Amino acid sequence: MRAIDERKLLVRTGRGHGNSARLLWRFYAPRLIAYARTLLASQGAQAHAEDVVQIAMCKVLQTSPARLRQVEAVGPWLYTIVRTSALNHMRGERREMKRRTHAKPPNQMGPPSSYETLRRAVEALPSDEAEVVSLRHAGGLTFDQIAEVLAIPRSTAASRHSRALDRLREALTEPDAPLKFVEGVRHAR
Amino acid sequence: MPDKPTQDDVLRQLECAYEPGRLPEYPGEEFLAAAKAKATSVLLIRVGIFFGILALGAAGYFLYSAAMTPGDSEPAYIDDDPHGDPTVLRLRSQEQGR
Repeated sequence: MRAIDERKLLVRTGRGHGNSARLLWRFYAPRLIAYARTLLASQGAQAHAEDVVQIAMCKVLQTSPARLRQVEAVGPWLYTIVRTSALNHMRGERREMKRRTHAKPPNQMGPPSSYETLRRAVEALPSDEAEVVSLRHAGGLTFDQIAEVLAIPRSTAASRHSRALDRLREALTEPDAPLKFVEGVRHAR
Repeated sequence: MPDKPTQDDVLRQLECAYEPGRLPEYPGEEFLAAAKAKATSVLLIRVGIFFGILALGAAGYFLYSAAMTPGDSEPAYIDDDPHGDPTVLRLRSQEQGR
């Protein structure tokens, strides 16, 4: 999808144009949800990723047409909204967790494929690295765009990506060990 | 123990793992329903504006027509023939007696 088309699609979606909303959802939702899953993984709340993305996409409908016309890069803008929604959700969830005695069981639907395993390995990375990997590979964002979304320097984004790749290399060497290894890193943080 | 994959291998696998076709699809019912609701509200607002303009136009036309219609106080004829047609004279006297 060309950048200009994406912008038109965004503005039309903002006006409530049904087909544009469907196209925007079909094009972005799977990748936005993959990104939201990496953000929510630290709380084991990946199952809420779709809800978070739906809330974020509904914000597009609430944004004024004038503001939507100002959006230059649709992808990074949407990832920023999803990030804010996910962080808000996590704040709310943390409060909720304090009230609950038992955590929700993870959403397991049969044996995962190798790609699913890799995506889970990404989700199990330390959250700052997982975010960069997800934005880079699921979102197709450049390091400059990632730096903009996360409000960090470009070099930091690149080094987090490199560290994440090293961890994933370990993870792919020993299919059973990686998640434990990476989770160990996460818990140690 | 298998060889450690290179960074390029990992990158290739990541590209494949996040290809849109390999990611699960989601229906997005709430978002699409919200988009439909927005479309309906936009349509209702537009229809409201259209009929509002139409009503204003009709009211303007009605008021203009009413203003341009000659009123009853205007004399229907000029009394310059006091010895003329008796019917006209009778009408005139009725008019003045009102």
